Amino acid sequence: MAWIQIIGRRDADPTLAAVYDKMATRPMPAAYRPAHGDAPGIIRAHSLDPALMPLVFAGMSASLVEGGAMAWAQRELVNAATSRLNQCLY
Amino acid sequence: MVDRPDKARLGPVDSAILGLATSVTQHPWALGRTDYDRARAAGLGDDTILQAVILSAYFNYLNRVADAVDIAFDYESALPTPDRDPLRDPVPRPSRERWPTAPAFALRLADRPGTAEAFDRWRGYVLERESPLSRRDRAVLVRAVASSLCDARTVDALGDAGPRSTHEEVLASYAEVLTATPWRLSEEQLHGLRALGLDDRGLLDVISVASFQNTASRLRLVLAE
Repeated sequence: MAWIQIIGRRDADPTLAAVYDKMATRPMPAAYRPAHGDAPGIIRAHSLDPALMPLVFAGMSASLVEGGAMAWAQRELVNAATSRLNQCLY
Repeated sequence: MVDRPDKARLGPVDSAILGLATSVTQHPWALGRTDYDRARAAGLGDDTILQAVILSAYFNYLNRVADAVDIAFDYESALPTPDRDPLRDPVPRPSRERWPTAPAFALRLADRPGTAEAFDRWRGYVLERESPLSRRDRAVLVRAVASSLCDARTVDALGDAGPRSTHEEVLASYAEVLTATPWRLSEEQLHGLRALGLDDRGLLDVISVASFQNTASRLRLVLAE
């Protein structure tokens, strides 16, 4: 269980539900769609602040995928290496 | 790949990308012109270097939020769970007089306008609100993270945001752990923040401000303005 309250889609109020719906429209590789059908945990971690969620994900994340010279595998190399160095298992 | 890059059998381009991610994550204060020249010599163009730097800085935010909240891993993966050493020490920081006072590379975040705009909106929301955290509390967190990353320009700009009370010392201490040793984050540390009167919404604010600054200070250390 997470260390702060997490609100998934099922329990989301209309404001949060609308944000989750917007997050779900982003192009996403299948590997980043959890089998449980709810939003990924790293997105749900922001559920207490629905206004923050699109700024972090639809904003920053989307802009880093668009354009640029790095292939998807190279972006994953950066992501995986950064996470490994931070010893972040997620 | 990360623990033994010499064994990873990566080509020169991917090795250079890995090197940038490693430096941005572990010792962004130590990057300099030679690192840029080395990346270019390996075959990376400016946009690839810029994208690698920004992406690694951004993932330093995501990693910290994930560990500060202790969110469960929920993707499908055939890979084994990597080992985690809670006793691992952070990379040593240089003394204050050796902190860099200029960005490492001549590349600018503005060279990727979409990302620059997204970053500005993100920063405005995280740093310029009055609740749940006060502007003062946000400044204390920002300064603590910047100090942990040897980001002299941010520390100097927030000169009066050093902790002046027990409340602020608790915030600063949490930000320091989140920055230097995120693998040591614990629920007990959140209890310490709850004792300051913060509810879960306030805790997320602390986590998001300190984690955001982990991205912002890395970008400030590496990229020109």
